[in-house]
Amino acid sequence: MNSPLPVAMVVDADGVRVTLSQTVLDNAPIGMALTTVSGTVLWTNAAMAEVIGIADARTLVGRRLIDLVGEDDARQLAADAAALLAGDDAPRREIHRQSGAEPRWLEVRSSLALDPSGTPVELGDPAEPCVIRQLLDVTERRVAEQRLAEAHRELEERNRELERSNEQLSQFAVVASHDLSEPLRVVAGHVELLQARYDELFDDRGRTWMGFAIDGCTRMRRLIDDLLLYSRTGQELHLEQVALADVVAQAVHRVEALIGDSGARIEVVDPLPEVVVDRGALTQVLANLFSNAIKYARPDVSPCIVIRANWYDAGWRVEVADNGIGIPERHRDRAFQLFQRLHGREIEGTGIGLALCRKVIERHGGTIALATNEPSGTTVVIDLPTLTPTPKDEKP
Amino acid sequence: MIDEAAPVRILLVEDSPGDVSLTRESLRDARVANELVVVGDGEEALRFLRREDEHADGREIDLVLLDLNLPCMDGHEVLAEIKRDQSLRATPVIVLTTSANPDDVMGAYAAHANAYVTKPVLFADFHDVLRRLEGFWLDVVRLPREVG
Repeated sequence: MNSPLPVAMVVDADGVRVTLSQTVLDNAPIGMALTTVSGTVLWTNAAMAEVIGIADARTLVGRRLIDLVGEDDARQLAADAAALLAGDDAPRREIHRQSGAEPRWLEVRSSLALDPSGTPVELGDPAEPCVIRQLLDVTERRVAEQRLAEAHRELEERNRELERSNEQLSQFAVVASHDLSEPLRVVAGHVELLQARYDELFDDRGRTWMGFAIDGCTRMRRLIDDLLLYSRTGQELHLEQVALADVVAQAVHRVEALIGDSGARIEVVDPLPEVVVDRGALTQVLANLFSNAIKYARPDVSPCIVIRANWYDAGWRVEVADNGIGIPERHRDRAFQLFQRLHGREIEGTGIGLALCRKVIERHGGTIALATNEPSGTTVVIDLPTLTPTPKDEKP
Repeated sequence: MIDEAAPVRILLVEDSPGDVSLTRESLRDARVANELVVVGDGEEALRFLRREDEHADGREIDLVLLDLNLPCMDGHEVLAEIKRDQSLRATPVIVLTTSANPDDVMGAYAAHANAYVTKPVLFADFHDVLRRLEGFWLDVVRLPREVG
């Protein structure tokens, strides 16, 4: 028979009694069943079919709900019913569905079935107290949670690996630079001694060669120092909320000599925001960018650097634009690699500046990229995502 | 009191012949007469200072220049041993090393090093550092043996 069972529920809404028909209960997103304490199903709504994984919920009537689940789950459901009878609350329970095509997780809530006067009803043959079971399919949520936990574990593992390899890399750099320094000092020292004590024994060619040897040593020294600087900078960030304008001022101070010699102008487009960064590391980044802008100025054009910051959807975009010779698009990726130089020896440097900038910005979770500053020059675009919590937010 | 003209005796504990050569050349130009004794490892340095075994007839040392990077017994251990020894601890020990590592610096001072000097890579700078060390330790300060 297809007609709905004559079951309804009456609720009291502000003194008005409203009847919820079987259809309303059938359409509920959860499966509901009235069972005897020993487990026989007396009534169920239609939604139960989907939750349990059968074609028609009515076929459940007369069967035992706990036969559809595993032994452990059945024991727990029985224990819940017993607790209800004893006047206790039954906990929210998660069980594993055994019926149907695939295993599902079901959340079960159990309560004692009462008549309108609040007395436990007794039904069935022989008559027993009854419980109402409400079942919700939480499989999607559980799968998502499991995936999330899995992803979290993987991320943590990868983080640990990254930390290990970072640690090893920085140790390697320290050891390498230290151990490279010793033989370098011996080579450089003795070539210098030759130059100082035996210079007159060499002809011009010999002196030129000694000069090359000394230049090589000096360059090697710089590379080692820079390698050490690169491995140390931004290794541990001490984040604090600072005014970007202060950091800019500090960076300008650091390149004052260069500015003085070149007649460079540095313009700040107000206002600059507050950012959460490692002050020392960001100062180093900006000083490197200023120094690049001045070193790679166009001949006969005095350098002009413009700094501005704009909010983008996830944080502050800081732009440092210059009017220098610019970096061709095909070289832009290479520019950020360690010890990569795009110019000849006529411009001093080991090629560490931008590599160091990238390391610092990426340690902040940001990105750094190069663009053209029309008509000529480079714009360095730094995206600094907002880091939380900021020290100010923590204060009451 | 020792003879004013008696050379100051320096023990250089250094295993790299190249570094020994550079130090020797720098001290050769010193204004104060000095005598450089070189040992290549920490254990020998202690035997020399204590005048044991092959160094039983060795001479008293006024100043120790100690490298940290030594085979077997490293400079930190040598330093600790010298400063633990009642009869040696008065001898000034200058740590002279390539390392600028904060742990090395703090460790050396904690172990009562009298000075910690990082060797510059360029010889001109190295020479200059030794000049200044010499000016201070051989000329300015009064060493234990001069009053002993």
